[in-house]
Amino acid sequence: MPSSRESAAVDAVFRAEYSFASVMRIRPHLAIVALAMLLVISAIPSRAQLPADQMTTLTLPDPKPNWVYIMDLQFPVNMLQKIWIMDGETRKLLGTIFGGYECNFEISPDHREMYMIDTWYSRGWHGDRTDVVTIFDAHTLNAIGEIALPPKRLLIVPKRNTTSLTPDGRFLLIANMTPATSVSVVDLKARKFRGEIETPGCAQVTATGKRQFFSMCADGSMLTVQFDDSGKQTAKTQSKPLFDPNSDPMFDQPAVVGSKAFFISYHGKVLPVDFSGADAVAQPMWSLIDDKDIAQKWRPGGWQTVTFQPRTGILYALMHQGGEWTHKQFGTEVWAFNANTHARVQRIKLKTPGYSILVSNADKPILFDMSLLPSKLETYSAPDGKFLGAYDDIGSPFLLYGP
Amino acid sequence: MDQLVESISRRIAQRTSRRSFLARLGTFILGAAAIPLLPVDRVAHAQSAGSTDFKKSAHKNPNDDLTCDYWKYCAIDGFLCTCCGGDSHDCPPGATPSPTSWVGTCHNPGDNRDYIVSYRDCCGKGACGKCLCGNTEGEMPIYRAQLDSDLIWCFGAPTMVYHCSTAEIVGLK
Repeated sequence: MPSSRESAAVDAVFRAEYSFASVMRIRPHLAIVALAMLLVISAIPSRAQLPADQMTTLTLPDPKPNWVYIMDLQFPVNMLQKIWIMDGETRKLLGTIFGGYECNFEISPDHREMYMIDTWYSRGWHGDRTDVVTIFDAHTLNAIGEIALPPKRLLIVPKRNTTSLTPDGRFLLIANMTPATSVSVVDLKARKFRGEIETPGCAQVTATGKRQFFSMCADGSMLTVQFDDSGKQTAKTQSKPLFDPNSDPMFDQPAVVGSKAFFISYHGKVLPVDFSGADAVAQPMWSLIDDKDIAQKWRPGGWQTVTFQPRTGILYALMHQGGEWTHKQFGTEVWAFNANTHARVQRIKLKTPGYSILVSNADKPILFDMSLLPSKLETYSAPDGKFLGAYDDIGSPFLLYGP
Repeated sequence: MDQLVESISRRIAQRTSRRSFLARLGTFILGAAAIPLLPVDRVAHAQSAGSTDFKKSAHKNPNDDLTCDYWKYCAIDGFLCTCCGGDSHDCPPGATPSPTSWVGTCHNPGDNRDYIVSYRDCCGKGACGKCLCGNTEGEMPIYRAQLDSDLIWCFGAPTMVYHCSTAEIVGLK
């Protein structure tokens, strides 16, 4: 659309030409004046025209350590979930990818691909069930392939360790529940489902080695499974119970770095477990809370309640004040601990109580605090806890992932 | 306790026609045979882990089944079927009751007794989206699946698509 100023100029030229033609016939001197006016009008510089837009599709660069990936359930329907990709430093939204019902998300270690582990029904909410791994190019965000799965995925409000990638990125492990529990092994290199490993009495999956994963079991033990390149189980060892779920259950989403996992309990205990060997080895349990904290009813809670920063060795836990069975209450503070000395090094008061936290693995780490109600992501510098900023309205966010 | 376990098993058997599903359920239970996995048994354990803070917090509307405070809903997690065209223990039209459930123990202030409550999802329709409750009395992580309310408890239903949640009294604790 031309601007009003451009329209006026066009009208003026049109009128001038019309007048020139009529006046020429009767008054030549007026015609000369009109011609001069026309030249003057034509000489008025019009505003420089913008070049025509050329529409393209942008692509993403390689991720930076402070990028964050946010799982939005698109509540309440959550049949078409979403990952928001955000730069944690600028809090700018960089893009999104979509997944199916109660889907899970993984990023390849080389950052070239992303995976949605999906369940779809052929008619949306009914019809035939299809479980599939959808493969995304991590730069274009295009879906570039898929791998069919047995329709057995563990359908649960998404948790980080419902699926897991081996550290070399070769195998994608997917927890199943039908309600019999097992793990599907997918060869990402061959783009093939390889087989299923039964994990009776134990649930979820976390890779802790090149061909090794663990599942948590109902009696507080850990099942360590080793498998080969054909996806077949080669060894399976169930540890003795490492904690007592009857007196103090461990949350089922530990902070995992390499072959080590930090579990925290409903009552604020920390259980570090070494999964580097064929059997899980518990390290001495320690506590997030002292007698004074207990008197003030401090305890951990939320959804993604614990995160570990390997460069600094600091463990962060989402804390609130509440009684028994408040393990899903939003955290008002994040407490930071030296995981070696067990000393509390910081208490970070959150502007908005959080449901999930994640600390980035960067030189200048960011602590992400995510609230579900209101829908908000806040960033704090870690571990000093300086508030950096917030991003509002990210749907119904439950999980945070780093690159 | 044994009677309650039997009762839950009978309910599953009565309401499930899919043989393959029963086989899978059998694997689920057998697979964990070395540990106390049956729901009621585990409720008892979970109860010993907790205090009575939830009970003390005094339900505001213990008799109003349109609110999260309704006494039977002490461990309900999801959309109340009572708000979706159903009832506290009936599915809305077009939804299918799941033959499987998670369980909790709730105190009824009306008769001052503790009841085992089976939280059965209604499945086969998109999410109702009304009256969301997130009560967590006795709720356990996924490795104790039958006390985990975040699971889609539609095992054995025609589809695993969750619609809303109900609360059925199974018996006295």
